[in-house]
Amino acid sequence: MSETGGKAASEAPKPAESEIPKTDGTAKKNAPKVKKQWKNPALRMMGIPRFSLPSRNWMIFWTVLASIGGGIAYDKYQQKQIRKKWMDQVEQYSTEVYANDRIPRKLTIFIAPPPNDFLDESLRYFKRYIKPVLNASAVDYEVFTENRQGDIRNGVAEKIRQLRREQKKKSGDNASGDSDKTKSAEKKSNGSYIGSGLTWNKKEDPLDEPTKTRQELYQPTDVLGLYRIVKPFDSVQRDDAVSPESAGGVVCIGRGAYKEYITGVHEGLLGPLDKPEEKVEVDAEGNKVPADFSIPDEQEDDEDKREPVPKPFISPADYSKAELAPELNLTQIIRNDKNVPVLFEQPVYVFPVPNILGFLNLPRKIYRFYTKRYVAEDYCERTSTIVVANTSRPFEFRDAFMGKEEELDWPKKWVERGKEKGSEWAQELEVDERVTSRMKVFDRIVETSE
Amino acid sequence: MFGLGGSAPQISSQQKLQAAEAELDMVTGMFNSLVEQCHQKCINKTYNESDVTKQEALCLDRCVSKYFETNVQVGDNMQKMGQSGQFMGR
Repeated sequence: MSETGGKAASEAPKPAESEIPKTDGTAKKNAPKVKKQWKNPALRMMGIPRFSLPSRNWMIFWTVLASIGGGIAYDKYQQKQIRKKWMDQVEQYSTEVYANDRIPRKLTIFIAPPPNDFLDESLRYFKRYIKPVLNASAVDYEVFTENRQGDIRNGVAEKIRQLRREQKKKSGDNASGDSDKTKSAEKKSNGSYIGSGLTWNKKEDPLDEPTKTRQELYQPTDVLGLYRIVKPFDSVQRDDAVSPESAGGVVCIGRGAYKEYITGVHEGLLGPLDKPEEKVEVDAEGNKVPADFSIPDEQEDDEDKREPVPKPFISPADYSKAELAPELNLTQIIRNDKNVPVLFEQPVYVFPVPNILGFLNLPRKIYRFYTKRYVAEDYCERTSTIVVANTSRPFEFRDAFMGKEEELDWPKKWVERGKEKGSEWAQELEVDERVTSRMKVFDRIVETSE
Repeated sequence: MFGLGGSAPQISSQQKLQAAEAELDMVTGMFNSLVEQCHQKCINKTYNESDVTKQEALCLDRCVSKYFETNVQVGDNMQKMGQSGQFMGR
């Protein structure tokens, strides 16, 4: 057949020859050759080129390709438009004239990987839909990620414990020592400005001093003559320090990150300051708590040389018995040395990560893949409400269920395994009234959770 | 901070002066490149606004802190290399 086909191709202009293979119906190569003529001589006279549909199989191929590609392209295009829309909407905040001595609001963002998946999945949502809006509105942010369960919880708790320890030490000293310490802390924080500002005109002669490091002698700013023109500013005004309602903000990406954050705050405020050694041993003997309490199973094969995440200092069952941070003066809003309310005094927000796993979920996965624009719209809108941020309200009990819809998508096996291991992701989130009464949430949650 | 902050015990005043000058040059050069790069990166070249906008202020903050951090790290690494003898100094 191929021989005759080749022949027919070489003799294409003669229709009589090539009609033979066409009647066979097997050699497809020849089919277009037959069509290489105009049915209508008028078209030919007008010079309109021959037009004919490709063969059936090519049609199927092109149609499938075009619909898949078109679906992706359309979705991408829409995402771009949505992002642009929301970025334009918040751009007004970034174009305001800003004095040199002000520091913009800073969000703290916790990102946890979705169950049984990699951190990149959550990070992608952050990068695509949250970060552009934050950048467009000139809100500063600091991102904390974790690769293992418990990192965020431990980090948050440790920070609060640190605060408590400092407070304890401070209250141990007398009042004068207290003020001295804060002063020195202040000096340390912006010493490069104040210190250099005072010393730029009384520079020491380096020849007299035999051995001294350069840092002791002068700062870079001293020698550049910068402050001959511009006087250094004594204090930096942080936008976070102005009003406690809109100060900073904590954004958790993923329900798991939120659970860990809330648990971490509880652990920090209610738990003991030092690691309870005995209790852990007793538990180990009683075979109640497995040794790898908070290490996710998917990380086990990872050659991970880091220390395991410390276990929680307090279990949720003991929350009601524990004393609420006796070191801290909880009658007022606790601020750090930069006069910014500390982390747990800032409003919280959760973005549920619409990640889905499993072979049987493939249709849903495909649907979600082609409709990412809805996620984009949702995320961008939520982010813009955070940016506007005059809408925080006190934490209510139902806020413990923020982002709970994500848990429906969690793999059941994974949750079971987590329950066996006592992972904090798999447990219900326990909250204590005394702690949550201090917390705030961004208000948009109300609309979404109802 | 800039990689050559060490103190040599027995050197003449002439050498000291030279070292100080070299360091001053280095600091000035670093500052100039910092200003240039952060201006390039952050400041809107149409100059619609006589003052810095919030976006630009934030960008500058980040730019400067990143620059210094990188500088410190590079300096540290170079010092380490110099001590271990892989690197023959300047």
